[in-house]
Amino acid sequence: MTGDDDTVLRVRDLCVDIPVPSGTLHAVRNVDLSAFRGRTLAIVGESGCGKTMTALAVMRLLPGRATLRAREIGLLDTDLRSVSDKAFSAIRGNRMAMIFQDPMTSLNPVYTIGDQLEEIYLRHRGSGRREARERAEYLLGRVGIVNPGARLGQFPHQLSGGLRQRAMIAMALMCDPALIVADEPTTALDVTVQAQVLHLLKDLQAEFDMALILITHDLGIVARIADRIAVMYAGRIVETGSSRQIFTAPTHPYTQGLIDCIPYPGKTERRTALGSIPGIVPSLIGDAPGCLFRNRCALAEERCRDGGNLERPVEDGHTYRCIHPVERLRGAAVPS
Amino acid sequence: MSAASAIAPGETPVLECDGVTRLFRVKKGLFEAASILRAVDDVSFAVRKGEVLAIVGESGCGKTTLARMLLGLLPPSGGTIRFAGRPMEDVGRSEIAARVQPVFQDPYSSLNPRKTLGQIVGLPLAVHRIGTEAERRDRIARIMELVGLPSHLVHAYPNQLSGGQRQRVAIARALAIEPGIVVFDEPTSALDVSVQAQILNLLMELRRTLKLTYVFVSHDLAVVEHIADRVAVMYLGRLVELGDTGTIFEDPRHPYTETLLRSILTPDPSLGLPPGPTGGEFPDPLDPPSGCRFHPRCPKAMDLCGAVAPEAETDSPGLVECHLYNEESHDR
Repeated sequence: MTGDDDTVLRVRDLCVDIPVPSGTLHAVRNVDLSAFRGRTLAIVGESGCGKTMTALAVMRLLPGRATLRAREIGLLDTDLRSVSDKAFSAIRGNRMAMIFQDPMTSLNPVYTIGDQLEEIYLRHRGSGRREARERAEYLLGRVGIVNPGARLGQFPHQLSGGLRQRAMIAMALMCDPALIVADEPTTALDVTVQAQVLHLLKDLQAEFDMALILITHDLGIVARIADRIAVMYAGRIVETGSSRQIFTAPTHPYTQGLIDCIPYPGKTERRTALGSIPGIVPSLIGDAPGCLFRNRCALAEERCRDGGNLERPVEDGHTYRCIHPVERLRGAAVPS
Repeated sequence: MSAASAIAPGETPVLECDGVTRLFRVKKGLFEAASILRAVDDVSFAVRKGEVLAIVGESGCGKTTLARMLLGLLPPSGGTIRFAGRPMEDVGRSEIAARVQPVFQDPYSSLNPRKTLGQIVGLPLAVHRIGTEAERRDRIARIMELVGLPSHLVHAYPNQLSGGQRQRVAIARALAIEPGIVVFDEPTSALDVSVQAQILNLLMELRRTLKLTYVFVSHDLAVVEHIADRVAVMYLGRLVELGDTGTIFEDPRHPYTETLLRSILTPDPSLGLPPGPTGGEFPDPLDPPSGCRFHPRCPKAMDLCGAVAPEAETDSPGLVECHLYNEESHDR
């Protein structure tokens, strides 16, 4: 078990609400999570499940109208809830950094790669330009960019997608952060480049002893690199456990359905129907007591309307939110 | 008319590419001379009636350009595309559209936001002047039911639909004039996994019930493995391997196919990441490597590979373009 000393981020009871014309959209509901030094937490779920909002809430990058409530958001020994916006900007990019999906829109097209990397270091470390440049060049080389000195003078459009994402990773590492949040870091990349970038993230994580929160919809990536997994649905974490627990003993009907949906070469029989989850995600607007998956769930009962929100244990380190006992869920056919 | 001579009568492929090449003039800067991009380079293959032929490869490999040529949207710069044995130039735009229909990747940008679903799905019928208005209405209703769209949505606009529903509309529009062949360009890559499964199941069912032929362009090898009968692998404009899905996935021959397959991440927590691919970056398509275009990244490259381009070998498993499988290369 990971000791408390290794805790880098601790979030308790995080809620994110967004006012919309027809009421309040509850994007994130009562989310608890922890990230540990040298370990990877994957938050997995489909569009609109709240995984990106959770990350943006931690980074204090939520859209202006959104409001945040939490019992705790602690980064190392700092309570992030009480930090002023000004003080927060000294933490963001410094002690924690974020990597976004599309490196083309998250790099500034009119500044060189070098300027953008150095700016972070100059701003947070107040060091001289030469030192910043040395650090930038070292990190560009470290993320596998050949001839980093020359690349520093280039603009983002002169780099391929894979190189841009490497530059983004180097940028996130400039100030040696304790936590990196990567939101779909390889979704825009080709499969062969994806494998390289994921390798790189794992290597760097070990080298710099960082906590990594990986947000993705790709269960293949999650299975291969996560230590712990949180499965989100409609703003809630419906199941959490180790990678082995989630993939070998998925318990929540949504987790089971999700795993059943993906074609698995060598396992799913070719040209047969894949499992699918019927129906669509419910509206997140307004109060929603009970289990939000019930309208798509084969095991839904009347009492799912008001129960189901309590976290129950499967075994050590593995929990789920559903009114049904584990035996009932395991025995049930996956909804199709 | 000279039909595909190598193929016996009665086996005429529904679509056939014979040495198809497509060049683009690309200007890198305002004052720089244009250079020639060989997006698709001397590609030959046949699509058999009723099969799902997948075209896979990384961005920039030419798979989308090839798909657009098969749709008749882009003329080849060289070579011939034949529809049921007839060269495309002799067939005519409207007949091509009646035989081959597209479904594109992004259901948000490929549907007209100002038209109702009924108008979108019915447009091909109107263009091709098929049936009376009442007959068209019937047909639209039937197709919408077929693809799993509730009938009340006939008056809805695309912005009222989810991504999965929009892709169903795109499929309904493609099927409205009973084309026989559908060319899909990354049809599920903009969708969530649970929706992707719904759409893939729908595509497999439609193919069975309507006896359709699919050309399925995708970078998602797990999806391709699941639905394709045969797989064509492209690299930098070249068709480097073609074969039955089982053969390609269980016994790949081209080192590039092996590289691609190694990068598939199945959800198996007992496996870590695959060993890092060799040879770094994807080369500049404007300045492709000499000889075999894959040789700088190839773990099995020999001296010969950088000097001489391999020739495609066609044999019973399919096609492979690699010196390792080329008899003459071994004799040198």
